[in-house]
Amino acid sequence: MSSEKIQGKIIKIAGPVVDVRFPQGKEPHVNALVTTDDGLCHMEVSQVGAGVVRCVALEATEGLSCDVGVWTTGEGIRVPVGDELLGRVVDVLGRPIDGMGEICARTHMDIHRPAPDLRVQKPATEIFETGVKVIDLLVPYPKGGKIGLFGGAGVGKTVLIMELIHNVARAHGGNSVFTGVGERSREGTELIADMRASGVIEKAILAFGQMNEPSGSRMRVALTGLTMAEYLRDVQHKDVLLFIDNIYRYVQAGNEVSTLLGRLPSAAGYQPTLANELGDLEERIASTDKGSITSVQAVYVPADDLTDPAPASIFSHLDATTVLSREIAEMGIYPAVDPLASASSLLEKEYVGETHYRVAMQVQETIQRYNDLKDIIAILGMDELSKEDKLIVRRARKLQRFMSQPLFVAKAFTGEEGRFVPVEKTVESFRRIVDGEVDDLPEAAFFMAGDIDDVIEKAKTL
Amino acid sequence: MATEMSAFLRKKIESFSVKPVVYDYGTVSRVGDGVARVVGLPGRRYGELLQFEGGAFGMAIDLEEDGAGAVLLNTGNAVSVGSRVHGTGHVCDVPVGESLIGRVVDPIGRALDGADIESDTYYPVERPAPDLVSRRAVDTPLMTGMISIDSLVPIGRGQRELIIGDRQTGKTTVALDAILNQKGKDVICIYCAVGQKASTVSAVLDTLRANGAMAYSIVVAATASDSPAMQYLSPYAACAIGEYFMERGRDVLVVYDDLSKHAVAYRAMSLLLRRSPGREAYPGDIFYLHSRLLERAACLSRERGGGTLTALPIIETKGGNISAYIPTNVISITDGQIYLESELFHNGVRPAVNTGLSVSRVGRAAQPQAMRKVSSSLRIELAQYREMAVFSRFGSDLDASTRKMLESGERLTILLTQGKNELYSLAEQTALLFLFKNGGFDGVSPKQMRLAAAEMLMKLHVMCPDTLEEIDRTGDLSDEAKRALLECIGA
Amino acid sequence: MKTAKIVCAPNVSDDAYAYICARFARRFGAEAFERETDAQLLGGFVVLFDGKVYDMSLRTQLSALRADCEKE
Repeated sequence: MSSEKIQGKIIKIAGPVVDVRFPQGKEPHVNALVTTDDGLCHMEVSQVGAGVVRCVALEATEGLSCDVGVWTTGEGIRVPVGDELLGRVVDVLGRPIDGMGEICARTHMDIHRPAPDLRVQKPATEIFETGVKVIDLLVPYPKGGKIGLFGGAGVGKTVLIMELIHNVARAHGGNSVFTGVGERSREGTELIADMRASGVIEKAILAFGQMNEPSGSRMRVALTGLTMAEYLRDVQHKDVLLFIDNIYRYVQAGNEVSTLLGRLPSAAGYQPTLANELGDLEERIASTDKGSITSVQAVYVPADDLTDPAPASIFSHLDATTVLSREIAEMGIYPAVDPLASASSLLEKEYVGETHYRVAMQVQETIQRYNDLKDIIAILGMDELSKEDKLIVRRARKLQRFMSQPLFVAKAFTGEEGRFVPVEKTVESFRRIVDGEVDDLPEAAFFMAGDIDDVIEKAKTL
Repeated sequence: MATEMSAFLRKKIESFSVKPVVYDYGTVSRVGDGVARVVGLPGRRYGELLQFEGGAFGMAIDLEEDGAGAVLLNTGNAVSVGSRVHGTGHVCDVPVGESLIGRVVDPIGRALDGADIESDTYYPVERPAPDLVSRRAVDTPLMTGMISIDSLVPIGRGQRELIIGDRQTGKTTVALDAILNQKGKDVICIYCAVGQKASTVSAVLDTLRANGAMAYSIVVAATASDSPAMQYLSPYAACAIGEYFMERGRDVLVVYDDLSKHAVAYRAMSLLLRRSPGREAYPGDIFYLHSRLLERAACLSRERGGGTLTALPIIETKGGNISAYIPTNVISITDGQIYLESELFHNGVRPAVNTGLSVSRVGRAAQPQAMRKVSSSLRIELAQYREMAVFSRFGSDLDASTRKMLESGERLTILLTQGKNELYSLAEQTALLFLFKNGGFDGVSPKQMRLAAAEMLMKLHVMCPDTLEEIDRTGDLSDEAKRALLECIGA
Repeated sequence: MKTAKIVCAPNVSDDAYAYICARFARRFGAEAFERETDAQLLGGFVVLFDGKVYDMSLRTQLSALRADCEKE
């Protein structure tokens, strides 16, 4: 890579997309970082033509004018990595945004890197406990795997991801990286405050490109966070937790600049490069013989439509998918996990054991059967059901309520202290419901409870 | 005086030096559909406000090698091919400051109600949102005066709470009532109209004036007859005007009425600029359009002066479908939503808040102690009532306890309704809910409930004004106050 | 061909016009000239050349003086 700095000149601006003219033959390469004269606006080269390169700005372009000089930096976007980052909050370029002074990292890495070789990748078969009942029972999360939390607007994705950080990051004890992509700034502020209060931040790195920032920043910050996690995995041989909230915003940011870059739109107006962009990111999140990255990714589902090209493409990359449903949220059940639409590759006898598997299957069957019966109930009423069906309905309603759980991070909202339920307890509790051991307890007792002992206690007060 | 004046003028004239005024200009080469192509204009800047010969304004939105594409802020045919254009040297901005209070302006700060706005401070309409460390958690309530909202979907200062519902469900009324309730609470209110009928805007103005709310309010209006670009700018301008006060430690409430029309105006503008359409023909950056606006609402840290900007954006749904593209986009930006339903509205439940679907993601933490004490079980009670009501429709024989619960639920639903512009103070709300919980309305038939509530309030104001005053002052419901309230109903 | 458009107030004499043309040709390299008259300028002239406006009209000068006075 040549370190010679070349000057070019802005000739065209359309939103975040800027055309710069460079001397012919001296154009910077794709993914190179260039900056304006005053150093205030950074841009990443996206397309290179003879003498003219098309860039995506990482900062706002308002007030920028044609003829402004632009300099090449001789390299791509490089971010600091390593121990100096722990406890810090950075932006897409790895600059601190927590007001705690400069970060003097010894090592910097390019955010565009190849995925690990197939030969060194390891499949994920071990389970990690989340303490959230419905997840541990029905969608066991694989250690070193990729986990998706799907949901439309306002069904509780961010709350659930915060709860996982609360439960898992603390128990995990290792390093975690949190990447905020295109989400609310308020949530970022609250997350930082929470992590500081609990001390988790000491072992964590946070990178933010929130929804107020231009598309270039939101499009690249996921890679910034990932690169920091990769360094911990590859160089420090650690098991890392990587949280991405929200991966859909990465695709969306790419979409925002796509047509301005001159690409024709594909299905539903998305960029034609959707699958590649996603592959470039997701394939790098992997577990290798050196260390592992377990990633939890929130996935926004636009217009509640799971068949939208973006969530549909993300689906195929994941080992476990938790789907949050608006219907369940409307019943007041949080976390609003859809027990039938969620799935994990680990929900097999050989991974979770005989009992866990049987209970999980029975829970799903009972709820499925209840859903089938709902139409009949709506038309004919409860009285017309057979005795067995009535029993199924009652158990299913208890199961549904029992899937709700007070969360630690929602305490301010619900007024209830959160509960961490260990897997064995979860399985045992659900087993007692499906086996009919607690048929006599009132439905209301199952709502917002921890394990089954909680329910029994609660029933006494009703 | 006169001599002083002429001396001043003489001095000015003598010291005035004649020098040429030199600036860049360009020429319109094509114009149509609210978009103009300009050639020349060497010093053009992205987002710059351009002035056309004859006084029309435009905004440079595509900079090209030999010129610029501009959207016109004026409608009509003020601009023609060959018209001269010059840059104003600044991006689109608005005057801000105390002098705007009580005024009606358009998105570039021109007065719509008489004399020019006098201000020497201008803010660009597009400004970056406060960063992560400049914010703090929302912790102070913004009371709306509506019992159903303050008890179930409380709003905190610095929060973004969406008001969503079909047409004719009272969205604007809810937003206006929230503004009216800020009287005497030292909150600057800004009502921003986007793409509304001019008659609607003037009705809003009448309401604000009639209730004395213009003393602390500002109206920013781009009506349906304004150009799409003007409508597009309107919310950003309103926000910039609000930010001036927020940055000076004040509390601001901004109502965006409504962002559905804003999205439509932006879609029109984008399509006319030949940017390719995506879902529902909206351009790809439609999310960023609203996210960068609503992110500017914030609760600033103490170091930044502690000011707040609360946003109440409004979205109009079609056929009650909140899962559509723009509604879900905005729901994913805001900190909760107040969902107004036409069925409720037509059944006389007003404000027509659907208590099941309405949530506030931060407000609970910012609820006054008194309200928290009396509203904690309301949500569950209402949810159970709704579920029970559905089941009871199948005509199964209802036992006495179920019937009692249904009646109580019905009474509660009615207690949560309120007439237009009829606002309750914190103490009144707290007292009503507290007494409801403690049997103060038992046995009242649902039909009589509205009347009973009104009578109860009158009784309280006569019998224990001190208690009400104490609740309002402390924001808490002491045991003593509880006793005093119970005494009033003779319990 | 680089053309300068010179908009004059009605009272600008032909001599003065010729002088303006000569100055623009020498100083900025204008090669052709177009003359227009605009009574609204009150006095003086405005030259449009090479993307720039050189405004020496009485109207603009007076409004500059007014802005200057209003500042205090």
